[in-house]
Order: sequence, then structure tokens, then C-alpha cells
Amino acid sequence: MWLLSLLATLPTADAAGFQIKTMRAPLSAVEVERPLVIGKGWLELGLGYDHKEADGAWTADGQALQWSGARWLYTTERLSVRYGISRSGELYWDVPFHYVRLTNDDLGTDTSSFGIGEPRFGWKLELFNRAIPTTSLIVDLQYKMPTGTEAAGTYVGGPNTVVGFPMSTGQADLAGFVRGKQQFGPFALAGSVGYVHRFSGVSQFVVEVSEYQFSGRFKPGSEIRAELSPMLQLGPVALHGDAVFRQWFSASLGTTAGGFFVDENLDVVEGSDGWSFDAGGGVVVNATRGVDILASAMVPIRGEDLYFFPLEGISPTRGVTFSTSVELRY
Amino acid sequence: MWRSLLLTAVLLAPAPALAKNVFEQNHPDLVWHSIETEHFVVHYPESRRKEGNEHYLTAKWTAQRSAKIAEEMFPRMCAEFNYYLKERVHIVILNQGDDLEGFTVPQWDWIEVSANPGSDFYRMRSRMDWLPDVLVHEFAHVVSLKAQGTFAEGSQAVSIGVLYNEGVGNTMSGGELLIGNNEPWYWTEGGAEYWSDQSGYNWWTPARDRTIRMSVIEDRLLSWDEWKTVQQNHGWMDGERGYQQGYSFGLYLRERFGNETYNNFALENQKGFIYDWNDHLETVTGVPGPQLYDEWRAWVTEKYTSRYAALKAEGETAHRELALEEYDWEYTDPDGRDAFYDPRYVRKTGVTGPLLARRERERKKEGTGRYGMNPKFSDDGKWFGASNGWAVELSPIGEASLSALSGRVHGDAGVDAKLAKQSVAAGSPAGFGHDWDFVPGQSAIVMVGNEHLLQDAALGNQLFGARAETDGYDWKQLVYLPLDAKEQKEGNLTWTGQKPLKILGTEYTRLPEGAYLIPNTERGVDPSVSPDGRRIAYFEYTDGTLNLVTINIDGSEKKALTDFEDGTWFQRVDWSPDGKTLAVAVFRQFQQDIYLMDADGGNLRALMFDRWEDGDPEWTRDGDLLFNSDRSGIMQVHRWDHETGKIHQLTNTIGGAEAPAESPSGGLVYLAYHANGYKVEGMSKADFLMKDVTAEFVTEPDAAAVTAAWGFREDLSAYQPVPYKAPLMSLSGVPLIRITNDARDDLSLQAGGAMFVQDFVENHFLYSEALVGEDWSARLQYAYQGWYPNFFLGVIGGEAKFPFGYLLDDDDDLTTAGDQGVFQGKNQQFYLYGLGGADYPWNRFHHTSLLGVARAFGFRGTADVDYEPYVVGGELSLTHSISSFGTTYATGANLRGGRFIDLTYTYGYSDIVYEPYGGRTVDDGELLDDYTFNKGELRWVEQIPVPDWGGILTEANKYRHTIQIDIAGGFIDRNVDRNDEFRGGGQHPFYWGSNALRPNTLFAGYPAYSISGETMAMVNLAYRFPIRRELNAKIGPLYVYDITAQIMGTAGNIWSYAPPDDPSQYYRNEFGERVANDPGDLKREIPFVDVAHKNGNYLLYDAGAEIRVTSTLMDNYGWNSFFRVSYGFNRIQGYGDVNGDDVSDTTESAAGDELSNEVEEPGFRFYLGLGTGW
Repeated sequence: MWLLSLLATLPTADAAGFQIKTMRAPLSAVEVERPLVIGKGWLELGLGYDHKEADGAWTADGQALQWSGARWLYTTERLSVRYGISRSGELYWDVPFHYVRLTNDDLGTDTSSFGIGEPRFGWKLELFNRAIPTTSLIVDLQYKMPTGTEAAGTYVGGPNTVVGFPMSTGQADLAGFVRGKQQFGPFALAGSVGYVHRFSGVSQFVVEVSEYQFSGRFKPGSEIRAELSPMLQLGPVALHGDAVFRQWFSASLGTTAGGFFVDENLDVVEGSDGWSFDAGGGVVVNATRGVDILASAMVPIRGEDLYFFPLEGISPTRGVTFSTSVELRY
Repeated sequence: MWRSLLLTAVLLAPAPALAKNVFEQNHPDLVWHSIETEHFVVHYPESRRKEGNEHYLTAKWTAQRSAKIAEEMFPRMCAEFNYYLKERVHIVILNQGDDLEGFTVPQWDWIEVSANPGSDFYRMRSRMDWLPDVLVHEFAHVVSLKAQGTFAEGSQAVSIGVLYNEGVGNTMSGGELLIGNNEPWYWTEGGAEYWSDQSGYNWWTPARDRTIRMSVIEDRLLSWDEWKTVQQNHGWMDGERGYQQGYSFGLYLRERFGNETYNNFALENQKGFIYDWNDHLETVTGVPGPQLYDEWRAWVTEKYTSRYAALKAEGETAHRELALEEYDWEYTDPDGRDAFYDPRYVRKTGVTGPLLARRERERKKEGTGRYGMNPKFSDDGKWFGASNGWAVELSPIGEASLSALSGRVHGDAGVDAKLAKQSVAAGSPAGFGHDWDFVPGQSAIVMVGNEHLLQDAALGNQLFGARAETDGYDWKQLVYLPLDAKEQKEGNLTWTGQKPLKILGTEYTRLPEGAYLIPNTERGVDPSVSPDGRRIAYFEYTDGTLNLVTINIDGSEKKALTDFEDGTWFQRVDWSPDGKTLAVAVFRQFQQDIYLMDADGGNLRALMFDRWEDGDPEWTRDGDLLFNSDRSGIMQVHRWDHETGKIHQLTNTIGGAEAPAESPSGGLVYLAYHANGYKVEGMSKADFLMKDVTAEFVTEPDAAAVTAAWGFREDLSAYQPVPYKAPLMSLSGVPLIRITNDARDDLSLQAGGAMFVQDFVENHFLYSEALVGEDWSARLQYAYQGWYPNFFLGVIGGEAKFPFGYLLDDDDDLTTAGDQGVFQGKNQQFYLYGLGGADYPWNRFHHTSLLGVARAFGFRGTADVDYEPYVVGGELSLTHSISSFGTTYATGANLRGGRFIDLTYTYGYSDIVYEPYGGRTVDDGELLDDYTFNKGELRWVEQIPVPDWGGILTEANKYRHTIQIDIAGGFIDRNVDRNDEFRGGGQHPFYWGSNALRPNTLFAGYPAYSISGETMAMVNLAYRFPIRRELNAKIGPLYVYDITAQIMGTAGNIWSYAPPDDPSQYYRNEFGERVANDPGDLKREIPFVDVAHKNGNYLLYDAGAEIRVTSTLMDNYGWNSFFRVSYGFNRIQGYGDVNGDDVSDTTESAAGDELSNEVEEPGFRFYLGLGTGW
């Protein structure tokens, strides 16, 4: 990472340590032609920022719930690395940091936290690729790691008593997606469908209250996710629309069971399943082959059973997310 | 040679600060320059010393010529693969040593070659033009491996590791897998030879032909499995055999399928990862690999059996091996060696089969096979000698005692059998492959030694490697060695000369009295002594060039006879019997001929000037000249008649004959190539072929052609240097995936990578590593390696989460039921280390390190907003390390005859700052706040071959049985917090971040870190022996080399301070812990006297056994595995989760309050490591 940051200061691409390599796969200068894996030998550093302000969630019957006097700011400062390790394979790391803040005018509280979130490590394998027009079909396997702090700074949670926010669920996810992209001249259509399996884990924010307030075990609901993204390339600028559908299954809570099957004591949390549908769009500016600038916005359209829980990954609130990032590529 | 796993090895090593790849020692006296061309940058060293200084060096000419050759070869080699490099390749010229170096790491665009090809390159490959040879070979690697790489060059492999610790079942299992490019070495190395040929730089020379020819005739070709597996632990010359089999295979494929066949394997491979690279053979040719191998084998077999038949038709000359040592079998005729495999022999001796390494089996079968070279008789005919590896073996016997020349056979009285008992061996590693000579009129020889030979030979140095480097140089230098004829008696043996000293079964050689280094002969090689015994002719090396020099035997009156600066190379010089003329082989501009020169330096003239490779001139007593030539396609000995000018071929053998010398009766001794080694053979005068081949040599060359050749000067003016700017190698790294269970029910994955960069001459080394998962860790380290000592700086930090179980017992009485419960908790911890220091390498074996560490460690619980620091502090350590294996990380399956010693003194400071405890903690009944301490620690691991003391011990020694003694001792001068104490217990070698001690069998019968205290005394005794050596068998995806077993046991303990037992001497704090009223009431436990209260024993014992398997995975990756079982005989107690069930019981203990109430009962512990080493 420290070396990648040198990219911005390098006067020429073939400066020591960053030579242009013959083995690198071709990479189109425009977004619409790019396949879904980065290509052999390419190393990409992404620096991104997401900004979301919310003042409500979705109720069990799909109604938009407006909080009374509460405002939720959730930002993500994102560091991502993609590496084309072979002609059809890409490894990627995504390390988020979050600054979050909950202001409740009714209670007179103003609580904020900053810390590392839940990094993801993934492997994309291209099953089929054709260039110009681009056709790209890939499998994307992804592992989420519970790195961030899980403690809210108190044994008993609640916006009036917490002094910080958890940044991690305390458990790991394993996800698999099939993604595709088809180019039609200046147009392209990308889509994906996948399943996120959520394992259980001992989580610090889950506190058993019957005995001594030790940690409990939590298993968020696994998820099915589908995405669709049309794109139009206009010169060095690509415009895209995005639609995301997510369906959660129920979460479980409890204490760890002895033996190998540790989930046996977990109880399903009734009504914790739900769904959401978000839509939005954005722009990608292909400044050079090595630099892209991205901006987008996602608007929550509908959803249900998404009451406030300060982990947007498993319980997104109802607010518009604005994102921008820069991608540096070598 | 190429190195693909280098990066991974470096990155996974625990001490990247010592990662300098090539230079064993740094050379602070060097300044580097660079020559830039369109596609290359050539870096070379130049000494800051003044010319004339004994260690002045430069490689400017070599660098300039390398730049020119590199640009010329670039388009030709790139065209082979239609792969034209956009990236510049950096070539580093080494000239700090005298031996051959040549390797590349293609991904780093890095080639490193020595300016000096060393001693025996010519014999191995023919054609003495080192730079084009080595550069085109290495550049072929660069292009071919880049063109074929499945994986992108920034990452050679993905490293996946697993470590699973199961506390109840007491098992600790780990595994590591590297997934990366897996091309076979026959294609890599043979291909580099082949593409050197394809691009017009090389050809199938007589030496290459000889390697494969004799391997066919003597049934020694590498099998398909051997050949496609990366070479390791094979027999004599298997490395070269593999190179040339690969080259031959390429030629065969070219003939059968077309020029591009070998290249097409690359194009196939770069499409994507394939489990077995060799499947490409079938994809490209339509013929399965094993079948193709068989068909190639049939092709070469037919070729060379035909060649042998033709040679026999010409008249194969009779010859015999000169046995320089006693055979193990009853030798009655040259075919008697086959009796070795005769069942009767096996029954008689019990020596055969799996307990012997293959090379030993072959040696026993083949007798003297090894490096028998440069045989010769003394001028008075009383001594006979030949070099064998780095030593010259000499025997005070005449020709009549040598069966090959006398016609008598071994076993006859006085023949051969006594040689071993009457011989003296003397030498130096520097002398390997070089010529030597008797000193006429004196009982002495002159040979090639090294600058530090006398110090190296001192017993103290042999035992402890005590010689300190002065400046990192140890160049070759001529040495005078008297042949001590004094006889020494020992039992029935009679020794002539200095008998090697044997200590515990290991022989320590001694130089004869009166040996001295000949002054002013640094970088001198291949000496020949004048007939009057007063003057030496030899070759002196500078910057890729040899020059002919004469000097008095005492080092005075040095005179340079030539002054080349253009890469001219010489090989073997010899004085004529009248002392007036020197004969010398000259290699220059692709001409390789015999020249004569007046002994005073004038009148250099070609004896012949033709296209043959002619070398090894040696005068006969009557003034004729023996030499060898490849005129017939096989190197044979010829004789030039000084009176008639006629040239006769004397030998005609299928293995060829080189380095001839005349026997007193006019016969020949020479070195002969066999598939199991260079051997010394003899031939009677009556058996000479005596074929007149004068017409095939140009003995009266065209003067104009000679003049033109000698006048040629390569124009290198376009290649001018600029100062070296420390350019960095291409950024590269290894993705890391680590899967561990930090608790029984939480198997978690960490993903990240290690990245590394250094400059091309390895002065600056920067390493970073980051892993994220439930825990994260990161480190950044920098080392400057361009000076004495090395300096390094670093920072290591991370966070970790610890789920744990807690047994609560309301009444603190585990015998009462119903009031107990098990609950889980999870805290978060951080650690941060800043470190800096210096490492001074005294020599290859000794180094001293000064290390400063600042450290902080803290917790965050469920209810904590921020971390609570627990302890901050620092340490300053001075460590002296000794490793007779050259590295403290040597991990061979059966290391023997050496030691690791680490002696460390540490001054430490710790300040307990944990606020919930009031900034203090209780340890062993003492309230600790901030304190300083002194700590001394000794680790001594001795690897001793079973002494060769006769009987069963001798047999055990023969089969490489080894005793290992591992001692750990330490003393801390006061009671300290548990984090500063010594810790003991079993560890897995793949224990990331814990730097498991190696060997790590000390108290493997107890849980990791379960034993602790301030005084440590432990000894582990192990007995190790091979079960199968060089099994060399393909077993599934593995190619297995050796299987080794070890049995071991440990005794000892770690003692601490005991809190007072008398209630009047302590009070209980708010956590119920016992605290001494007066710290002076704590009792320091006396080792071997007191019970260690923390574990409850006077002494602890364990015993165990281990199996080690060395193997290669998927033909390419070293993959060494082990299984260990240890039994701890004692019941122990200790801190926290002693019994490993992930539930900590901390109800009050009678022994010490900070101890848990848990115990680990006597029992077995199991360790499994797959691909982790041991």
C-alpha cells in the first residue's frame, strides 16, 4: 500500500519499481469495454468515500419509518486493491473504515465512532470473455472478515447509553456471485445474482443478560442479492444506472453450544427477515487508462423489516448514499 | 539457474533484514556504476581502493561487453517467443568472488552473473566464452518464463496456510500450500540451453554430448519422474544431466515436430493454471509426456550406441581406472564392481538398499567416481596424485603399484590397496577443479588455496568457525604445501602426512607443517612449477580476463607475461622439460588453441589454429606435448611430436580423455568422464591408438589470420557508465491466506499480502506485510545492507480478538454441582512494536546483533470505548549467534556435524499501566508496577554424528545417525510479569508470529506456553536416523526424497518465585489475589532443588518420536512435512486454560492465586505439519 501510494507522485510510468510489463493484459481505456476482471498483471488501488445520511428505516409492513429527532450519518472511507493474478483471475481486497454519528435531538445525545470495518477478500474467475463487443461472465467468491470493533462501549445497548458504535458483526460471511456484462456498441448491460452465507460468531455487542452479561452468539440472516446495471459510454465518460435487490433470511441469537455444532442454542429472531430495493446511478470518468474517477448515488426505493441497527451491512437505513472514488491503476 | 521461489522464501522468513540474496558479506568498499542501453541496465562494482591494492577490483570491461552482448541477443531471443520485452532488464555483474554465479529472477527483471566463470565451466560445457554463454542462458529464462507465466509477474504464487489447534485432543496441525507457476526444470533449464542454440549463441558441444552419451551408455539417464521434478539431493552431476537432457529433448522435438515445439509449451501454459505442466506435452505434440520421454530415450540410445559401435570399429583403446582408495568389494578385475549388487555381497556386508543414499550406492558400485581430476606423477616418479573435489590426494607410490599401469590388479601385494592408508590429502575449497603441480626437487606441491586457508585450517576455526572476516574477501591464492613423509602409527594403520583429527566421529583436516600462502598470488589459479622448482607459472584473474604470470616460489619477482584486458582466457600452463618454453591453452574470440611462449614472456606463437577445441597442454619428458582435442567429436588425448610436428591421437574411449599427464614409463594418466563422476584412468604406452591426425589440425596457420585475430579489439566505447542510482526492482509480493482457529469454535480466515522491494545490488531492502481478518497485523521493515554492519528498522503492530470460555463457580468449590456455569467472553487486544538494530556478520558462521525494541500491549473489553494499555516497555538485547550451517534457519531433515548457539543478554524495562488494576499487577505474590530487569539466555543445539567408534556405532555413523542435544538455559535477575518470563511448551513450526524455536521439540509433550518462570534449564536429547534416503519416488502429487525418524526426550523445568504461604506474610487485594506484605518474602525457587510452584513439579519429563518427509509438491515446490507425537509424563498446572478446553477456570488455587485451577494430565500431544517443515 505504501508503495502504491507512490503512484501519484511518479513522473513516468516506467520509473524504477513500476515498469510497464509486457505480460500485462490489454485494458481498454473506456469503461464500457472493460471486462469484469481487471486482467493479468494489473494492480489497482481504489480510494473511495461513501456518505449516507438517514433519518428513518423500513417497518415490517414496508412503510417508511421516520425517526423522531434522530439523524444517522454513516460514512465509509474505502481502500481497495485489485490484482489481476492471471489471465482470467483477479484477487481483490476491500478494506473499509467508517465514521458514524448518531444525533438524537430528543434525547440530547450526539455519539460518534471511527474505526476499521469489515474487510472483504475475494477471487474473481472469468468463465467466458470476448472482446469488442465485450462479453464477460465471471464467478465472484468473497469472504467478509469481522475485523472492526464489536463493542458499543456498554453492556446494555441503546442510543441513550452507548458511547460508540460497533463496526463489525463479529462473524464472517462467505458469498458467491455470478456476474455478467454484455456490450452493445456504446451501451453495456451488467448484472449479477448471488448468495451471501452468514456464519455465526461470538459477538461482543450480543450480551446475555440472564447471568453475568457475557458475550452471546449471533448469526445474521443469510442473503440473496441481485443487481442490474445498464451503462452508456460517451467519450471518456460512462453513465450507469444501478438497481439492487436484497432478500434477508432470519437472524439467530443465543449462546454457544458445546461440541462441534455451536449453533444449536441459537433462537431465530422472529421478523428479522426482510428485503430492500435500491436504485441509483453514477458516472465514471476514464481520465487516463491508469486513472478513473467515479461518482454515484443510491436511493432506497422500498424495503421492509429493516429497523435501525448500527451496522449498515446487515441493516441498511433509509437514506441516500453518495459515493465517490478514484482508482489508480498500474 | 533461475529462482522462482526466492521471493516467497524471503517473505516468509522471520528475519527479512537478513535477506540479502547473493552476497554472503557486504562489501562497503564498493561503489556501483550502471551502463544503460535500450533494453538493459548493467550494474557493476568498482573498488574505492586504489589500483594495486590487494583487494582492488572492477568489472567495467565485463559490464561493457555484457551490455553489448545483451543488446545483440535481445531481438533474437525475443523473436523465439514473439515476446518483446517492454520492461528493461537489469544485469548485475559480480566480481567480489572468484566462483561462478549466474541466476535470474525473471519477475524482478533481474539477472546476476559473475565476471569470473570459476574453475571447471569449460570441462562441463566446452567452449570457453563465459559471458555470451551465461547471459544468453539467463536471458532465455527471462523471456521464456515471462512468456509462459500463468501468474502475473507481481506475484509468483499464492500462499495458503492453515493452523488448527485442538486443546482437548491435544493436536496442533498446520499446512502450507503455495500455488504458483509450476514449470518443470527440464524445460526451464534445458530450454534455456535449447534457446541459446536456437538464437545462434550456443551449440551441442562435445562436453554436452559427453554428458548424455555416457548417461546413455552407463544407464544413468534421469527417469521421467526424476527429470521433471525440481532437482534436489540427486547424485553426481544430475543437475548438469538434467540441463542437457532438457536440451537434447528440445533438439529431439525440433527434429520431430518443428522448431517451435519447445516454445509452444510456453504459449499453452500462459493460458491458465494447470495442475500438471507436463500435460502440455500431449496438448502440443499429441503424444503423452511419459511416452514422449520413452521415445526420446530410444532416440538418444540409438544415437549413442551407434556412436559407440563406430568408435569400437575404429579401435577402442584399452584403459583402466586408477583406484585411489580401497574398494568396498573384493576387487579382482574391473568388472568385479558389479558384485556390489550380488546377493552374496549383501549377505556378507549387510550394506545395500535403502539405508544408503543413492550416491553412496553408486559410489560403492563405481569406485572412485567423483571429481578425480588432473592426475600426475612427480618428476622423480615417486609420488602420484590427483585432485578429488577440493583436495589433492597424493600417494608415495610409483607406477608399479598402480594396477591400471602395471597390469597387476587390485588385491595383488602392494597394488592399490594400501593407497588409502598411505595417502595424504590437502586442499582448499578454492582449489576445486583447478590444476596443481608437484614442486620438482622438493617433497611439496603448489595448488590453489584461498586467502584465509591457514586460519580456516586451524582447529579452533573448524570447530567453531572463529575466524572473523576482515573485509568480506577471501580470494583464491596459491599455496605451497609440503608433503610430510613422516609416518604415524595408529593401530594397524600407517599414515603418511598429517592424519585428520577425528572428534566425535567428525574429521578435522590439518595442513602439513610448513604450508604457506605464496605472497602476491591473489586471484591466481592453475599453477605449474618450473623444472628447477624455483618459479611458478599461473594465471591471474582481473575483470573477466586471465593473464599469464610467473613468480618465484617464495612470491618474489612477479612478472606478467601477458596484459590482456579483453576477456582472453587461459587454461592449463606447463613448463617444458628444459624450462625454456611454456605451453598454454588460449581461449579468445571463439578460438581455442594451444600456444607456446618463451618462459621469459616473448614469442607467443600458435601451435595450431583451427576450429577444434584444444586444451590441457602437458609436456612429456622428451619434449613432446600432450593435449586434448574434440577433433573427433569426443575429447581425446593427442600428442604433438616436437621433432616431426606430427600429431597423433593416443586415446579413443567413449567417455573421452582430458587433462593428460605422462607416466614415468611413457604411459598416460588422464581424467575420464563417466556418468557417475570424473575418474582418473591410466593407459599403458602399448595401448595408445597412435593414429596420425596431423592433417586435421592447422599447425602452420596463416600468419595474417592469427595476427588479425589477435589484433581484434571489441569496440565498447558506446557503453559508458553513469553512477548507480539504486533503481528499485519491480514491485512484487505474495498474496497470503491464513486460516486459523483461535478458539475451538471459531475458524477464521485472514487475507492479505506481503510486498517487498529492493534495489538491484541489494543495498536497500524494504518489506511490508499486512493481513486482515478477525485479527489484523501489519509490519514494515527496512534494512540497509550495503555496509558493515547491516542496519534495520521496523514497526510491527496489530489487533487480535480473543473469544474465551469462563467457568464460574459460585462457591469456588468445583466438587459442588449446580452453582457452576460456562460463559463466553471476547476481548480485543493490541500490540505495537518498534524495533531497530544492527547486525554484524563476523563471518559466515558468526554474527552479533544489537536489537532495540519498544513495545506496548493493551486490552479492550466489551464495555470499553478505548483500549486500556496493559504494559509499555522496551528491551535492548545483544545476541551473539553461531551457526555452523551458515544460517540459523537451516532446517535440513538430518542436520549433522554442527551447531546453533544463541547467547543473549537483555536489559528490559516494563511498566504495568492497566488502569482497572490500578496500574499494577500481581505476579507470584508480588505487586509489580514498573521495573527493570536483566536477562541472560543461552540456546545451544549441537548436531553430532554418531561417533565412528567401531561396531554398531560405526554402522550407525555410516548410515548418518545423528545425536542432537538441545539446551536452553536462562536467568532473569528478579521477579517479573508473566509477559517477561521464559515460557516453555510445545510449538508448531507454522506458528505465525510466534517464532517457534527450531528445533522445537523442547517439551513438546506439554501445551504451548504452559511452563513459565525466571530460571530456565531444559535439555532435549534426540536421536535421528534416516529410514529411507534418496527414495526419489513419485507418490501421488509428491516426489519424495528422504524419510527420517527421530526419537527424543526432554528433562528440565522453568522455576519462578514462590509467594509466601504464611497468612501473616500476605494480604488479599480487591481481586482476591495473594500479595506479599514484604516482596522479600517471595522465595526464588532453586533449580533442581525446589518444586516449580507454577507447574507443580521438581522436574518435567517428556518423550516423543517424529517422522520427517522431504518432498516436492507438483514437481516444483519444496514441501516438507512431519508428524510428531510427544508424551508429557508430568501432571502440570499453570495459567488460564491449561487443559486446552477453551474454558478458563480461575477459581482460587492453593498454589498461587494468579494460576488457574486447571491441570493438564500426563498424556500424548500430536503435531502434524504438511508442507510446513518441522
